[in-house]
Amino acid sequence: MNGAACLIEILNRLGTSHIFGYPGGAIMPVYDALACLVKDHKMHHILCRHEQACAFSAQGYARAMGQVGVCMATSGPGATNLVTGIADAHLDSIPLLIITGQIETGLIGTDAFQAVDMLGITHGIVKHGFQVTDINHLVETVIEAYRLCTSGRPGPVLIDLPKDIQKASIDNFELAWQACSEDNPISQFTPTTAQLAQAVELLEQARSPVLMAGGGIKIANAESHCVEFLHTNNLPTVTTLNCMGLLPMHHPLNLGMLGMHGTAKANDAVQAADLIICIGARFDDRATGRVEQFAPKAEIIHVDIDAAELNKNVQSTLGIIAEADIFLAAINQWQKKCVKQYSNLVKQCANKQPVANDTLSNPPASNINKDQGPIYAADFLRQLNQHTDENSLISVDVGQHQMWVAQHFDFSSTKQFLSSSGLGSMGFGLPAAIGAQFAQPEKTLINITGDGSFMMNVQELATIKRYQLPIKIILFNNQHLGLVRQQQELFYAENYSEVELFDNPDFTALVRVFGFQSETINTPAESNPAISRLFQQPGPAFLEVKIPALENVWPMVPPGAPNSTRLTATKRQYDVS
Amino acid sequence: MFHEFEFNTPIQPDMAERILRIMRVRGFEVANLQVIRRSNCLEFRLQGETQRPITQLYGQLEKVYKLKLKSATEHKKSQLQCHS
Ligand SMILES: Cc1ncc(C[n+]2csc(CCOP(=O)(O)OP(=O)(O)O)c2C)c(N)n1
Repeated sequence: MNGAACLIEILNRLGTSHIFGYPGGAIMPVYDALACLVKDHKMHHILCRHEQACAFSAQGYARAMGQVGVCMATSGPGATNLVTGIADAHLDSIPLLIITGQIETGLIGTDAFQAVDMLGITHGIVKHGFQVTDINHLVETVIEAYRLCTSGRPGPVLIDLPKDIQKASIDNFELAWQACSEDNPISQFTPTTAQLAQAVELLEQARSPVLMAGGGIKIANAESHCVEFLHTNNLPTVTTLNCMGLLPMHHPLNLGMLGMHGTAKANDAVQAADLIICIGARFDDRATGRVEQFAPKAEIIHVDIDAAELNKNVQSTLGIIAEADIFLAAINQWQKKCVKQYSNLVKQCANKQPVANDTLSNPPASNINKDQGPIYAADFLRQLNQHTDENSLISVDVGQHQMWVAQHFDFSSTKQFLSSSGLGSMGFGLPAAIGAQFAQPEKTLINITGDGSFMMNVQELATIKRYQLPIKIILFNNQHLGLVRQQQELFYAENYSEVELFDNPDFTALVRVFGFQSETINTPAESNPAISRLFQQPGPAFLEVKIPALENVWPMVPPGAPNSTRLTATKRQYDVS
Repeated sequence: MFHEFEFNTPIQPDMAERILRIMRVRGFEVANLQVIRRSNCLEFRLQGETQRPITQLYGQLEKVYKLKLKSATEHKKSQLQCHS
C-alpha cells in the first residue's frame, strides 16, 4: 500500500464519505488511489469547477452534517485557490480537513513548478497545518488532523502531502492504524459549581438581563438546553448572525439579531441591559458596534469553549470556559436544584411583542398586495416563508440580500441557515448549497444570492448539472454591489465608485445553458406563482427577482459607531461626535 | 510593558514562524527570543513588548498545537538576559 492509498483508506475508516476536490500533478497518486473506492461506491468524489468552490462545498457539507468536511487540491494554484474557503472555515469555526498535494520533498525550496509554501500561507487561518515528510508518520498525522478538526473549538486543519510521500510504500499500515486509532478521549470543559453559583447570583440581581446567543450554541447542538434556560429565566434573547433560528421569529422572547443590521429591539435591549449572558459568541465588531460603548451598563457573563475569546474584545465579570451544551445543561440542572431561588428570577420582559411586528424601527417599503410597482426583497422573503418549512436549508452569499434574509426569513432552526458570517465571502452561497445538498439529500436547498456574489462562483452551475442537484437559486438583482453602494451613499456622499452592474449578463439565459428551468420576475403579483413553480420543478431551478436598484437595508449602525446609533430610511444622517 | 513567556513545543520546522506570526498579529513586538533544541522538544523563551494585556497573547499561544506553556510574567521593563 502506498501513502496515497493509505490516506484514502484512513479517511474512509474515519467516516468520510464525500471529498470535494480538483486534481492536478502533485496529487495524482491520491486520485489514482481514490478511483477504486469511488468505483466501489465506498467514497464519493465531487468534482467542483474551482478549488475555492471545493472548500466552500466541503464547508457546506460540514455545516449541514455537523461533521468534518474534506476538500482536496493539487499544489500551487490548486492549493492557493482553497485559501478563501479555509479562512472562511477558520472564522466560522467549521471542521474542515484540507488535503493539498505538494511537490516532492527533495524539490521543496528549489522554486520548482507549482510549488508554494502552503504551510506558511495558511498559518493564520488553520488550527494547525501538517506537512508529512516521512511516510512513517502518515497514519498518525491523518488521524490526528481529523480529530483536531472537531476537538475543542472546531476549525480547519491542513495536511500538505508531498508527492514522494504519496508514492512511498507503507508496510505496517494495520499496526499503525491500530496504534493510533484507539479512542483518545477528548477533554471537555465544564463550569465549576462556583461559576454556576455566581452566574445564577448575577442573574438574580439583574433587572434587565439579556441573553446573547452565538454560533457556539449551534456548533455544540445546545439549542434545546438554551431554549430551556431562556424560558426558565424569561430572558429576552438576541442572536448573532450565526445563531439565527434559535427561536421562531414571533416568539415573545426573541428580539432578533443584534449589530450593524440588527433589529432596533435587539440593539436597544443590549444597550440598556444590566446583564448580558453571552454564550458561544466572540463579540465581533459587526455585532458589538463600537466596542467601548457596547452594553455600557451591563455586567457580562461570557461562556466560550475557547479561552482566548474571554476578555479579548469585551471584559467580562464572569468568564467561563465551557462547551455551550455542557454549560447550559449544568446551569439548567443547577437551577432546578435551587427552585426557591429562581422564583425571583422571572424578569419583567419589557419586549413582549413579537419581533416581526417591529423587526425594524420603521417597516421596510412594501408592495406585498399590489400588482404593480417594484418587488421589495422583504416582501418576497415573507412570501417565500409561506412556501418553506424546517426541511428547507437556506444558503446565502454576502451583501444586502444576506441581511434581508437574516431580517425577514422565519427560520425554524439554527441549522437551516448557511452563511459566511465571520469572513463574509461573496461566492460562498452556491458551492455551500452544493455541499449541503450532498449532506442532506432529502432537504430542499435554496441559495439566495445577489447579482455580484452569484458571478463569483457561477461556474458551479456545472457541478449542479453534473450531479443533477435539485438546488433552487433565487437571485436578487439590484444591478449593483448593493451593500457597498449603500455605504457609498450613506458615508461617502453618494460618490459611487465601481458598484454599478448595469451590464450584467442575461442571467436566465446564462442558467438555461446549463439546462435548468429559469425565469425572471419584475412585479409583486408574479412572486407567489413564480415561487410555486420554482419548488414544483423536481430538478435545479433558477429565479431572478428584479428589485429596486437603490433599496437599502435598514436599520443600520454606521461602521465604528455604537449600536445605539441607528440610521433608518427616514433618518440617514448621524452625529459623528 | 514587557511580557515574558517560557514554553516548549514539538520539534517542527515552522514553530518559531508560527509563534512570531501570532505575536505580530496580536500586537506584540519581539524584544527577545531564544529557541533551544532539546532532544524531544523546542524550548522557547520569549519577551514581547506591547501596550496590550498579557492575556491577549497568552490565550493565543496556548492554542498552538501541543505548545506547553511553563510561565507567563509581566514586567515594566525588559529583564531578559541573552545567554551566549
Ligand atoms: C469576496 C468578496 N469580495 C468583496 C466583498 C465586499 N462586499 C461585501 S458585500 C458586496 C456587494 C455584494 O453584492 P451582491 O452580491 O450583488 O449583493 P447585494 O449587496 O447587492 O445584495 C461586496 C463587494 C466581499 N464581502 N467578498
